[in-house]
Amino acid sequence: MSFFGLTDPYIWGAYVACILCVIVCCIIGIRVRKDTNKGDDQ
Amino acid sequence: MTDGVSIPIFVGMLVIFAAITILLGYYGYRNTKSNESFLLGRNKTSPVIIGLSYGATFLSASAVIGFGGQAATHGLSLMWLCFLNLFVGLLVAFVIFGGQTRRIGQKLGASTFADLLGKIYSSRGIRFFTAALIVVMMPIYCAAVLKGGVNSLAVITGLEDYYDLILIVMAVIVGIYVVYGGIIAVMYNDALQAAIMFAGMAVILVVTFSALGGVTEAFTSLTNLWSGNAADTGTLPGFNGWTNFSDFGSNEWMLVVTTFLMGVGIGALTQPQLVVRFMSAKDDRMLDRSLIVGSIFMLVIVGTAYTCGALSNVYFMQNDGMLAYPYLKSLGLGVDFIIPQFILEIFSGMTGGDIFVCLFLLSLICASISTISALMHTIGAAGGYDIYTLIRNRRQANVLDSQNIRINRICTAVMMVVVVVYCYLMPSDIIAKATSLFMGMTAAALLPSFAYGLYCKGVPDKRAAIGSITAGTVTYLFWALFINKSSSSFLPICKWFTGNQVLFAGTISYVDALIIALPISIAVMAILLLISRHTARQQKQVVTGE
Repeated sequence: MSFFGLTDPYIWGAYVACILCVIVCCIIGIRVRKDTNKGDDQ
Repeated sequence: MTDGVSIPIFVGMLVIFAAITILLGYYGYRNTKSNESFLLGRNKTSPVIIGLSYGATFLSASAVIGFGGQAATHGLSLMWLCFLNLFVGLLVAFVIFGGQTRRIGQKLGASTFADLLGKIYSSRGIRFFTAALIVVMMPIYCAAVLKGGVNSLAVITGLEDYYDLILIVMAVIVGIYVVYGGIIAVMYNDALQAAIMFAGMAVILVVTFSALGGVTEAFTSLTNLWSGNAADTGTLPGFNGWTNFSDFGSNEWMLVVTTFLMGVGIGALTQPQLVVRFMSAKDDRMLDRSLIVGSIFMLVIVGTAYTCGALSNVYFMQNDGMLAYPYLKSLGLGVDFIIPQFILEIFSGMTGGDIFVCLFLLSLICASISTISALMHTIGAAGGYDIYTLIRNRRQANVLDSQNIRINRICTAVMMVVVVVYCYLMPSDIIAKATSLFMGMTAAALLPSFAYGLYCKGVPDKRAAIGSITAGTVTYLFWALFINKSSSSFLPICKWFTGNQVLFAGTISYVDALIIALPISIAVMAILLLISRHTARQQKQVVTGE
């Protein structure tokens, strides 16, 4: 399997893991922002 | 070095940057009314400021130049460090450690990392040890970052004759805004510097891929560079090319995984200058919201540095007929200069190339001084707040923390001078290794106690914490000074005693001290906690007569 020319899964896996991590961080941040907009003070 | 820097453009950018830096320093000075605002500045932060400041402090010139250069040598395996920076250094740090640190810090009235640990365990000894560790070890890391930034700047601009002047001017500018502006100036300047770094690195990523024919073409060319011969690549046995992971357990694997990936990846959790960022937040929501900015920032900066570092091999091969490591060696330069040289060459002859090279140089300065300023603030606070409070309270039988900003400021200024002196005493090409050494040392000594202190129910066991800190410190120091080849070069005690750089040759000399010291530190803590629990149960049985 090739990912933009990278064939070693240990290498392209690192890129995928990085992007997934950023997505999770953004989801956490956006969920909190929505909660804040609703005025749900915890 | 390629002559590609327009000094007038660079000086113009530098003057504007220095003016804004001083203005933000003045803003910090105006808003620093108390010792609490000098140390934490809680009311002047926002999610964007915290996210950018955390990222800029975390990622110094070490990440861009030091580890970027290592990626050129050891390949894209370093992208796992990018993942660890994001996952451990950001996600785990903010979600698991950040909120709890902020809440406990606020509840106990702690203002620094040493203060927090000391108050969690009600131990002046733990507070003193942590502060002393910061005062003794952090200047090494700080000097490595300062020296790395100034070295690159002097060589790229061709102003090597003015090396001393650049070093002192940079130290004075950072010193002034940290001493007078406190944490508010540090964090606002961090945010400014982070924005410049982001712009500079994003441009470099786009230009690199476009110069090498696109993403797939660039990575395919990098894969095709590997002929199976690792001679003169600066790598160790077990290396399999820049787009393949090294052989499990080989010398190359040990160096990359245990020193670069684990040392820096895990070590981020106990960085005193980063822990203070959590305590600066007003609430947990602010910390969670700063994850958005922080994660995107870190992915772009670190991902670009490591990817472009590895791809520089393709560029140098196509244009200079050599791989990055031997090419720089032929120029009489080390690994830490691979990224600066690559930037100079790739932008030379390009329309607006001068401006981009200057932007990169400015990014480099920003990356250096954002970290140096945070480190100087932390060192100054450890000496001027923690150690001063402990000494004063011992003399006067006082229990209150020092509220004296002036002592903090004097201590920061004195330590800045010490850092400049360190710069002249340190060997070259040590940015990545010095970073790994400091982060590994703090993690081995303090991570188990910090994690246990944050999450234990009831009164934390002081004896277990002291045991863990002692075991982690002693093991780390012994391994770093007598077993590990790369860290023993900092202080060649083993060579003085035995005549050899390390006690044992072979793969073991590439195993980083953290890999041994951290499990021992955790094990000692677990054993002491079990003993305490067992003793308490026995005492209870004696009292109740069961």
